[in-house]
Amino acid sequence: MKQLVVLCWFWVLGSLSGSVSALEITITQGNEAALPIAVAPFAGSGIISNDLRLSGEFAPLSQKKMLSRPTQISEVNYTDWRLLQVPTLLVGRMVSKPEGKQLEVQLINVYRQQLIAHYRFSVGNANAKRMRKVAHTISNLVYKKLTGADGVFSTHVAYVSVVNHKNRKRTYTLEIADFDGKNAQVLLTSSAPLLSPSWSPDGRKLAYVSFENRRSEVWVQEVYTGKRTKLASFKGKNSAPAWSPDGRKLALSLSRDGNSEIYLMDLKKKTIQRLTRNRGADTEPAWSPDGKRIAFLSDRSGRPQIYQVNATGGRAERLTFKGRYNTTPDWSADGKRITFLQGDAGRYRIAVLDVESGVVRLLSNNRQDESPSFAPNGRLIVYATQQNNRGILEISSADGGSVQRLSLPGKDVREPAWSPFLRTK
Amino acid sequence: MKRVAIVAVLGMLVSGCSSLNESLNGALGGDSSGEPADVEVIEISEMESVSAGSATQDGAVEGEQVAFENQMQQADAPMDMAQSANGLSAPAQRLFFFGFDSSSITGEDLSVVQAHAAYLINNPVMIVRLEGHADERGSREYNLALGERRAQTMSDLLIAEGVNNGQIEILSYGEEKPLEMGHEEAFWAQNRRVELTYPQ
Repeated sequence: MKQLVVLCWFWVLGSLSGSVSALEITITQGNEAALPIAVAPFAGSGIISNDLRLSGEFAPLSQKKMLSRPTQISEVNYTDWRLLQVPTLLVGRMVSKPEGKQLEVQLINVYRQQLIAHYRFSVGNANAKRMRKVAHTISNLVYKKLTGADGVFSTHVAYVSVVNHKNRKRTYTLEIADFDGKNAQVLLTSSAPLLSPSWSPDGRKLAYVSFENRRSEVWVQEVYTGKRTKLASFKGKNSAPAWSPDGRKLALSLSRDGNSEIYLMDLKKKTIQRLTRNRGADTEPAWSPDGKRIAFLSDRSGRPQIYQVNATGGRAERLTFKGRYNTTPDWSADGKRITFLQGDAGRYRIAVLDVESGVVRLLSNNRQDESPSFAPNGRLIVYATQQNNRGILEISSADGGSVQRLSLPGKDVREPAWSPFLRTK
Repeated sequence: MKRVAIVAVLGMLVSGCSSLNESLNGALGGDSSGEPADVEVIEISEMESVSAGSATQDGAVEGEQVAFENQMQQADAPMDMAQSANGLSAPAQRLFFFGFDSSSITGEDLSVVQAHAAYLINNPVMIVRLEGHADERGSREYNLALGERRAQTMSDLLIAEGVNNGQIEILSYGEEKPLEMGHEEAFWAQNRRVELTYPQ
């Protein structure tokens, strides 16, 4: 029996995992139905299990249902897992080495009784934060191995959290968390509204709208230093920032010339260029991943609908026709789909438009959804919705097959924006 | 006259993190988490308080919020100077409500706006602020545009009556400052509004 062992050390992980050709497991159900998998107990296994569940593509077996708890392939009793109809098993154990603790993880094909991949991680003192990072990395490796796609388990979600005080005062915080809602970090605290966070393509900056000067202005803040600068403070409304894929421009909605229009700001020269010109309100620009087109919202027809225009200017083309309320476009990474908010008969739900065919598919089944944002692999969409008068975030698979709630206990949140893949400089 | 508060955000080196992150950086991205953040000065206006922090790659927040006086109350109840100006009074009605997704001013509201216009024409030094709002449904950005359009509609009416453009300030808070916190039409109707104020 051929066994392919892949040893991945942390600091070489990226380069190694890309070049490895491993035995591929056959996914019989495709991505339409969640694939059963078992993650046997080890440090970080709960996080990995939750990651895979949140992807919508896997149905991890509850640890309570496991008949045995192997920690390495030599301990696996395959009959146990066949009985549970689990085709894939992940086991792991902590090993003490002279150079420190290591987590050894093995991905196993139950039916072939084969090792699919073997990973080893240096985990230092194995504190919770480190283990969380390691676990997300393992999730990415497992996901890539089993689906062929890049996992988003090490990405972040930015959002705005609100605390209502007595006497109508509120505290707004701009936060980022791991994609699963854990590990939240506050980037900005303000007594005035914050909205529309937008990631720079390198994931190191966020543009957003702040009312701290009692009017809407666009600010940019460096995520890892906290340094912030005011970018747009023209007369009228300054809002809806969206970073171009090459990081050089910011699309904005400004009303400096009297009406809400789309503008492009050159971030180096600090010059602005007007892109739209009509009587309707134009806002919510979103760049196509190739940077050539900008989708945006306009109510020039009398109702809010989604249009696209060349990033160099020209005539806008209307993209949505069904429904009286279509707003908040965001492109998938392959540029083929646009997620947006559709209002119909008093319900606001997340939808996905196939740009080529014009076919629209409704994803969510709530009453008050907002702010859809594609994951950088195009397979998941995060959006805000309401539960018990509180804003929460949900993740849906882009084909609508799965909806999961993000864990942000006790928080009132809105305006989620999924980060790009976060890579080293 | 503006009082500028200074918030210093002091970066703190979170002990133990630097060694931890060193080995993570190669595979997981990020390079700044182990270094102490720079001391940073942020200017803010007198009305709202803001403090910036920064993220680290491992969850600790580097930054310390410095508390200072929050005068937001003033924003909620702006000083209204209209009653004492010139011995004439502006109409008492300062709130104007709108239909869903509508920016039309109709009926009695129209005559009240006209009376405000007359007051502004008689008091050319007075400034009027028109603050547009929307209900919570739908896109926040579109609601920002809707609130602005409502304020713009009222501004257009005032100008059509002869008010000087320079006397009018327009802004929109979209759905961000509701009067009522409920989640049904009775509350939403109260939130689709323009607030007209005479700030000094």
